[in-house]
Amino acid sequence: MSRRYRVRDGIIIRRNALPNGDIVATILGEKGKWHGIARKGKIPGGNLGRLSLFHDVTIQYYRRGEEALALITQVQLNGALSRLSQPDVYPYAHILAELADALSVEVEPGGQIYDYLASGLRGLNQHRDTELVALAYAWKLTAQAGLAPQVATCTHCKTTSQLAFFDIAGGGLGCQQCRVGLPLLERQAAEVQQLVRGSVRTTLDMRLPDRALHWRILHRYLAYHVRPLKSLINLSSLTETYKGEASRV
Amino acid sequence: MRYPTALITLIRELGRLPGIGPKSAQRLALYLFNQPEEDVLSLAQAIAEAKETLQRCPICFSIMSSDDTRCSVCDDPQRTQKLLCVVEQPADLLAIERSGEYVGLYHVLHGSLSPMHGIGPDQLTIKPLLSRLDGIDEVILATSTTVEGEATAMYLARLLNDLEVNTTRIGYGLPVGGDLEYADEVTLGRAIANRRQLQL
Ligand SMILES: [Zn+2]
Ligand SMILES: [Zn+2]
Repeated sequence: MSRRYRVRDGIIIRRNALPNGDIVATILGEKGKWHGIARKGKIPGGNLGRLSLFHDVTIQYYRRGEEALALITQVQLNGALSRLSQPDVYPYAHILAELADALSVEVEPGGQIYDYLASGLRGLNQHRDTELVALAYAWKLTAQAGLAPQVATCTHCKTTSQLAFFDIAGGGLGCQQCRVGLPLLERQAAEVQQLVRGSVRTTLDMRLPDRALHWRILHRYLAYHVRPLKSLINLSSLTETYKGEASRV
Repeated sequence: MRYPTALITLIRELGRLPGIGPKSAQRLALYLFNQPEEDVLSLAQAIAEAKETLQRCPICFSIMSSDDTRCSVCDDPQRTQKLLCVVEQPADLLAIERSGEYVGLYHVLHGSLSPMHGIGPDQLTIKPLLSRLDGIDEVILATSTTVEGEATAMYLARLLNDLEVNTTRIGYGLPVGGDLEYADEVTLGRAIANRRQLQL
């Protein structure tokens, strides 16, 4: 049987090591998402060791018949972001990667989800306020998939004034008259607007005091409109533990 | 032809094992069918017995016989009681033992932090680790050199640093992106001998 090798670029957004030493990876590139298997990929050294989570790689592979998994034969590392394994960065990188995975499909004509994931991961690697970077890019990714909440007007009566609720099921902000959903201060509603519609650059200038609230909105919105993200369920255990647990033990 | 129910069941059960696809499951099932009955029975018995008689050591979470109260490492007074080496899996512990470079105690996390897989600190044996630090002079973080392993090491280093426990990391000299289980003994021994303080 002739082997037809192909080459594709992308970011490794999921990596599962099987007990027999194989690695199954999900790779998101400009043209969409695909899955590959590296036989004995856990064996360190050799170029399959570069098949690491969040790495930006060029992969040579081939497909046998109808098999869903491409067989990965070569991996070339184009870039690894050194800070992503830091405790104050790592949980957020997982959120962006898991969300990009949930939002992307096999064929992605525009490549916007890949672009936003790539710049989101770079932002996490560079910026001091990684929590804010993660919130900003999570909403950007959601918007790129066409699933942004409606934040310009009340989802029920279309007024643009006195927006002070977030209606998860309704898919956006609500007003004082309609009173549906999670009650917010008007300032918090304006913050939601900024996170969803503002540029990343201006969002990163925000102070954003009520972050737990914003995570709650994101978490519940995605759970309803996309799917529940495991990395969001876990978030507080990871971030709070390293901030507070050690002193309590 | 339709397969008999027993064969379908066997293929399905084998196919649930990690790394076994439908085709391999079918091949294995037919292979087992062609083996002498006593061989198949002794395999089945070994599986059932292992499950019945093995459990996690209550101290280090490595594997031990359920007849014992602790594993052979935890039970060995000759080992340095002030050194604690943290690994991801029992297989990593065995790899370090093979290197012959290490004489202290172990702690098996049973995984590495991976929020997208639902694995946070509570899914690993981190709380029991923090509760056995009395009398420990040094904790060696020997998680794998993958992104997940590094992240787990950094996370633990920060926790342990807050508790003023001396913490070191192996991996200098180990190839990046791999599990310790697959490193050769010489490299692994050297990586342990050359462990360094973690930069926080
Ligand atoms: Zn309204
Ligand atoms: Zn033990």
